[in-house]
Amino acid sequence: MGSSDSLRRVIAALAALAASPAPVIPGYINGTNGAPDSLGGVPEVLIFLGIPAAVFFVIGLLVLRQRGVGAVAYRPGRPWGFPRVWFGGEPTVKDVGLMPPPLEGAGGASGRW
Amino acid sequence: MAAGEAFTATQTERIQRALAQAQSETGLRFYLTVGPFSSQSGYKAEAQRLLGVLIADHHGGHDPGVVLVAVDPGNKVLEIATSPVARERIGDHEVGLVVLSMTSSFTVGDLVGGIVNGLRMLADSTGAERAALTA
Repeated sequence: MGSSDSLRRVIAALAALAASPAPVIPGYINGTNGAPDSLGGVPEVLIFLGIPAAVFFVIGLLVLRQRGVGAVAYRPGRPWGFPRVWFGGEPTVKDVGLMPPPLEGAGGASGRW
Repeated sequence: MAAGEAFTATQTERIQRALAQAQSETGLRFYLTVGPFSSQSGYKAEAQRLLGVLIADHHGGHDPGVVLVAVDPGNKVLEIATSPVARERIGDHEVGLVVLSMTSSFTVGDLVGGIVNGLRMLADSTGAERAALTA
C-alpha cells in the first residue's frame, strides 16, 4: 500500500508540472506569489526606462542627421531665400542696366517647371 | 565660394565636379548660376547679356565657346544660353532636350541632381569641334 501511495504522489506531481510550466522556470521557484525576484531599483530603472530612452534618442538622432544632410532641400513653389551663387566664375557687372545688350548670335533654350 | 548657404559642401563639390568634367570633355567653358534673376521678365535677354559679360570678363572678349546655365529656383525658371561658337557645337534643339530633363528633376525638388545631370547631358550632346570635323 505504501508503494502505491508514493506512486500516486509522483503521478500527481508530474501532472501538476505538465499542466503548468511556471514552477519549473527558475525565477518563479524562488519568487514570492509566483513572481520573479525584483531586480532592485537601479537596474529596473535602467532596463525599463534607460533602454527605451536610449533607443528613442538614437532614432531621433538618426532622423535629425538625415535632415541635416539634405540641408536646404528645394521645395518647388517655395521661395528661394538665397542670393545668386556662381560656379565657374562670376561676372563683374551684376546690374542688368549696366550690362551690354544681349550677345548677338547667342542661342540656347529656356524652360519653366 | 559664397555657395555655402544655398548648397552643402557635398552638393557644391558635386556641381563643381560635373562642371569641370563637362569642360574637360568638350573644351567649352561652362558657367552656372543659381539664384534670382534681376528682372522679373526677359530672362532670356538677361542670360544672354550675362553671357556677353562673362566673355568680356574671363575671355578678353574672345568667344571660346561659352555655355551659361542659369537657374532661378524661386521663380521656377531655367535659362541655358550658348555663345555663337558654342551654338555651332550644341544646337538649340539639343539644349531644349537638356532643359526638359533638368526641369523634370526640378519639378520633384531634385535641384542638384537636375543640375549635375543637365551638365552631363550638355557635355554628351556637344558635337566635335569644327577643326576636328574638317580634319
